Amino acid sequence: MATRWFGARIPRMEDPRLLRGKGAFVDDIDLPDVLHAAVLRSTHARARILNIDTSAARALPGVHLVLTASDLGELLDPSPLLVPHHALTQPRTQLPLALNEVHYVGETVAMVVNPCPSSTAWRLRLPKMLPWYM
Amino acid sequence: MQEQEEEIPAFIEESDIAVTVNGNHYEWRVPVRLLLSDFLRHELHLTGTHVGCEHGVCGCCTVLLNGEAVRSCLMFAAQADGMVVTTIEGMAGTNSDLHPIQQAFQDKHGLQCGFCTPGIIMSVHAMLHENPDPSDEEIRYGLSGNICRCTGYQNIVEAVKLAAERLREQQKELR
Repeated sequence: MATRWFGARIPRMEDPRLLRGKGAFVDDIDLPDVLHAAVLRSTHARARILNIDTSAARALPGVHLVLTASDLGELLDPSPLLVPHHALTQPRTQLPLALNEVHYVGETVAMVVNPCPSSTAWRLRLPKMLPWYM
Repeated sequence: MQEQEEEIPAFIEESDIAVTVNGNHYEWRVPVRLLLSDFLRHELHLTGTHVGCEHGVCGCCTVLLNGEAVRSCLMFAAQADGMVVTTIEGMAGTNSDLHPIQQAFQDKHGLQCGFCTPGIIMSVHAMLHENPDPSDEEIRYGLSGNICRCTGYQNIVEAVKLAAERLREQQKELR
């Protein structure tokens, strides 16, 4: 029975909805009360973080959570080394958020959680939220 | 030491807009910083317009603005005030048939996961409107603003060629 499909062109079942924009990718699923996170990243290749004042960001209406490394408590552990190798004699993995210093441009420094997807990233750009680097 | 700006981002200010999307007229109050892509996806629930990179590189959010292909993640909804927007949901029209471009993509297997497909179809629509008989090179140039990570582009080029051919035939019949 099934052998007649060998070598034949089979039209894909999923194409019509994908071609009409009716696919359901994760971000297309509309769930109530979803919160969105945005990450503030280092603009420096190597720097000490002197201070991050999160009070202005925390005070904004709608902001659920603002996190820096010092808020993480016992979660502030380097990520596990998932693929150990004998050549890695001094393995280093990174912290979820930078503590006291950043090591590359783009390193995670702070995170904000907010209900509105379009304003979340902007909530991190408050003047007072910008870290002071040295 | 970096400069500390005093300016507060204007994400609280709002603006009234009137915009036609896929033939439907909407009068809406939007935050002035709301992106057109987020307006389409979150306010109008037209989630066929995808957001891949959010900075104008991937082309997934391409829509037609007064007939011209634009990246909806690079403009604010407020800037579309008074304009006509067409998204992928507006391509097939009210009847059940796919638009010839969509049909050609299915016939030539011009998509796999389908995430980039809506943006590509909108770009191709504008491209073929401007140039109904593009060469392979022109097709590749026209597609250069859209990133696809599945297909390797070969079948997309084939689909565009087939779509162009069918649209030209359709035009001949209309004459």
